[in-house]
Amino acid sequence: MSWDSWIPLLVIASSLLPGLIIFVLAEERVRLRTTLNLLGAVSKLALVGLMLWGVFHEHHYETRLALLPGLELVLRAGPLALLFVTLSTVLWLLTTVYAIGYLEGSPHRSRFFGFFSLCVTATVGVALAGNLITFVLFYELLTLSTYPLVVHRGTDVARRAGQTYLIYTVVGGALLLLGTAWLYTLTGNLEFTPRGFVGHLGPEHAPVLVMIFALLIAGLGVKAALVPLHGWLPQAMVAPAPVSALLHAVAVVKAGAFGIIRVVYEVFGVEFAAELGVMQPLAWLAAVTIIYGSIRALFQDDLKRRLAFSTVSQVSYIALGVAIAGPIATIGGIVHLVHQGLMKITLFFCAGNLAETLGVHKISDMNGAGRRMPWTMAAFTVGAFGMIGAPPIAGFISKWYLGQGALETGQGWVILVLAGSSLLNAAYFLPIVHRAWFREPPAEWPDEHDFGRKETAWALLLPPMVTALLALGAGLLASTPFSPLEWARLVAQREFYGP
Amino acid sequence: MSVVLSEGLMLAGIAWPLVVVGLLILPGLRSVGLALTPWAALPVLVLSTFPNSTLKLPDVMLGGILALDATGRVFLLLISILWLASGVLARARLLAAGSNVLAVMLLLAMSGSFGLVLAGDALLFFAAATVAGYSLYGALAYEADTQTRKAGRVLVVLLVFSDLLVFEVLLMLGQAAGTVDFVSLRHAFVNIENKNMVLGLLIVGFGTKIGMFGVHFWTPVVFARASAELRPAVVAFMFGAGVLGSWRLIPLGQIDAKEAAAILQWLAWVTLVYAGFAGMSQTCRRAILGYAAIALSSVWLVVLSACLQQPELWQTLAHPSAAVLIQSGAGLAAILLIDKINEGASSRTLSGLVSVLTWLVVLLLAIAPLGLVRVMDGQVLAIAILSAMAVIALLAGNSLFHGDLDPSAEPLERYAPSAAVSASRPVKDPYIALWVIAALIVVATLVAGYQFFHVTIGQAATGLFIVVVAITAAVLNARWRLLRLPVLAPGDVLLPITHGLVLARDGAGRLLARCEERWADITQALDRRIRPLMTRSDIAGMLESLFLRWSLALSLLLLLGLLVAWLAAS
Repeated sequence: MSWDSWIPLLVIASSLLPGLIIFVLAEERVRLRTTLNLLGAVSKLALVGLMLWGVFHEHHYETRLALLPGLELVLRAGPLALLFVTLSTVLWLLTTVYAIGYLEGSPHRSRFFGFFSLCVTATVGVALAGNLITFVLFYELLTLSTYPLVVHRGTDVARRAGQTYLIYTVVGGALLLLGTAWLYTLTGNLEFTPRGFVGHLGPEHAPVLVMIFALLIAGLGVKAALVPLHGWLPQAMVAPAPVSALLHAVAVVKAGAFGIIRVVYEVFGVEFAAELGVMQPLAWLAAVTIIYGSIRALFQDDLKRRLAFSTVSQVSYIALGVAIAGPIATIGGIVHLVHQGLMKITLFFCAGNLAETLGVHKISDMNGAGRRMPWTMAAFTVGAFGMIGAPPIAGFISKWYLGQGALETGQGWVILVLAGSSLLNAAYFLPIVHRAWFREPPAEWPDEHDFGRKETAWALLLPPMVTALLALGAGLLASTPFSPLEWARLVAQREFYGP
Repeated sequence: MSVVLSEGLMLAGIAWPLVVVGLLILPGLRSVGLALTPWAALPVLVLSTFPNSTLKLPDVMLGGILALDATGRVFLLLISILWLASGVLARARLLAAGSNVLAVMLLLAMSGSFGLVLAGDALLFFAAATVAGYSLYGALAYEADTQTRKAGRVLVVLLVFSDLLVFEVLLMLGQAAGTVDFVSLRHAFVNIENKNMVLGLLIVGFGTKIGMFGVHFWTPVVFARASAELRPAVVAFMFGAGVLGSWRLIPLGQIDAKEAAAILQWLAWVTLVYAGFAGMSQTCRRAILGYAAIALSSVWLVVLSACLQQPELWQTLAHPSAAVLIQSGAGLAAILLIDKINEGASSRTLSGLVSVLTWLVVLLLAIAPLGLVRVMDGQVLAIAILSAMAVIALLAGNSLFHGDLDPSAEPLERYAPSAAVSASRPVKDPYIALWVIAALIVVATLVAGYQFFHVTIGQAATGLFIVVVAITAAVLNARWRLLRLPVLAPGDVLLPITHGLVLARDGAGRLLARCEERWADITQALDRRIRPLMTRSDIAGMLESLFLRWSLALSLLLLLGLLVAWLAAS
């Protein structure tokens, strides 16, 4: 194997090895555990940076390992893979810093960070997967590694949430595996190929292909929280804030959405999928999810549950962009993968800060939180306005491209969905911002912790500030080279017009 | 050299208020930031004297452009003056404030307002409008009293509605044009298929910000409740985000839309009649002025109507429209601040002078659209303009006989007219100065109108006559309550309609909660049946504790791999 072939494996190993070591560390070995965590995150970032530079200079990074006769474990760094792996790596570093601060003094940190590292290993594996079987393997590893994070607190509520999560994701995984196996028996091939590899099959296979598509989307739709497969997501909010941030911004939901992109573009091909007639139902499903998630969010008083339902809605923008089946909508869907990640992780970090510093979990308890924690709420405000789609924050760019894509393909009804969703987003985010900044704070917070002159610990404050700035920068400087938008344009160009 | 300086000032004009925000929030530099805040509009005021220039920012958003052109210069001059006034008025309050929230909101709104004028493409304009609008809402919501915060909520709801409509239009025009600069968008507008729909959305979208009838609910409440430093800023926002936006996007002079023109003409009349009656029913001075602003929006509708009916009219309307803008914008802001000006009038002489000046402002505000009359002479639209002048004069004149809201008084019921209005009027001697300056204005405007706008003696005399009659009517009404209209609280009579939306939302929430309870009952019933079975065998507990071991997780993965291999092999 050449040096370039080792790079994807090293990216995987950079979180796997520290994770395995952390498992066996004693709880008191705080410094070593922190060092391993940060070392893994930084080394992964460096390797991903190297891959980005290499791909830009037309290097080819691919690892092939024999798995079974006729099936290989393939890791490949293409533009789409790099987009997701870069997002995951950057946000993992920030979430690691955040988690170190959040869980300071908590029990079972070795177990937590061990599974944390496994989770990121799996996510990166999902991103770099070069064929469907590799994708499925890492997808299932993601399920197994995130379950212990969901039930980390060990309470009855956490266990029940974990049960629900496991049931949903294992069933989803089984559907995905069934679809994969069926596809393999039909085509003998599972390699992700730009513009798909099933287009050569004749029309007599159309009904089977539709069923395979449905199985794959159902399996992926669980993690992507498409209605009615979203039920696990709000319940999983019982997990600690770093887990919620990871699940909702980096790992699980993004893996599902990313899988949908892979299936549509690199298994079926967008044009062939449109001919099969599966794109319209996917678009409708995504539209229903967008509106349903927003309506449910409107009536939640628990902050994390409101953000959870918001995630249900926002992740479906990605599916909608894919389903509209046009190059501009593709850009919108793919870039929203990054933008939603940045904005949503900011919001979850801030929710964690409020819980950890003031003991605030409910929106009705947030009166005057902005006066007590101005930087946290400033970051929250940026994230919230980004979710609404207010320019110049990143969410506006995604909605612009989705709207343009809808008009390009003659699907004007999507504009109404986007408008309705934006209206609902404003309805459930603006009151939070208003309460935090413009209402009188209570005489005493539910469970306030004193951090001296600082509003909260640096490890809790820095990550949301960074992600809020990134969300603002991704929108304001959307047309800079190497911005998420430029990268999404490259991917769309490749998917529609050739490599 | 001047081009480079102009480009630098364009960037500085927008960025400088943001830099001051940075100074405010950095420890140790807050006092510097507070000292600079009132004067943060100066770079832009200087910029308005520079020649036209364009600055491309290819990395900003989707390819941003900053531009200073003839239209922008007029707005820049007006808006920078208004923001200077806001800054100076805010100075004492900002120094006394313990937190930076108000200062940050004002500076963000300022930056957004300048961005509105200097934006050369639609997305940058939209971004600036968003920043300006929501920051203004923030500044309103910052106030301690609940009624002012409610006024802010009315504003933000309408802002969201307006922004959605404008966004839809930008999507359609952007898709047709392929780019987002104003020139290309206007060209695309001319050739687009669903022109009337786009026009309708734009007019409602921008009309919301101007206070057009039907989407005007925010104007009276915000005018009534806004503190002194916010009033010029609100006027700046109305002109920048509303009037300028429509001029940037609607290709006046290039499209012919007679049906739309007829609708706008009727809308202008409805706006005038409504503003007149609703305004005369108010007891609060600034709420009446809010209706005067609504009446002013009918002038905007008339200009649009005229240009859509006869596109060639725009060439002749453009010049007097600029003068109308400056005069009406400055006049409206000045008359809103009369109470602050009068606070400083310690002697009877000064107080009398303030009264004279106040009436002068009323007259200038009312006759601002006079220059448009010449262009529309002989048309029905000229009568609409004259009627608008009369209604504005009536309302503005009537406002001088009423006090402002007593900030400490809260109304007992939501829309009761029992909201306390101060008995103290800002103009101490409203009757004395009226006839003195009426004569002065008749002479001065006849000369000025003839000299600068080539208004004939007949046209100017007609306009002045109507305005003087309207002011007389206002004075007489104030004295003897000639128009026995019902008295309304500060706010809008149509606001209860929007309250219905709140009731609908609450009703939907209760319905959803009931559905959730039923669903929870079903799942709990299932849980009660299944859980004892699970607990009895404790399979779940055992499995959970097992799953927490990574070794088992890896084993399961191995099993899965074997299953896949078996499936593949078979």
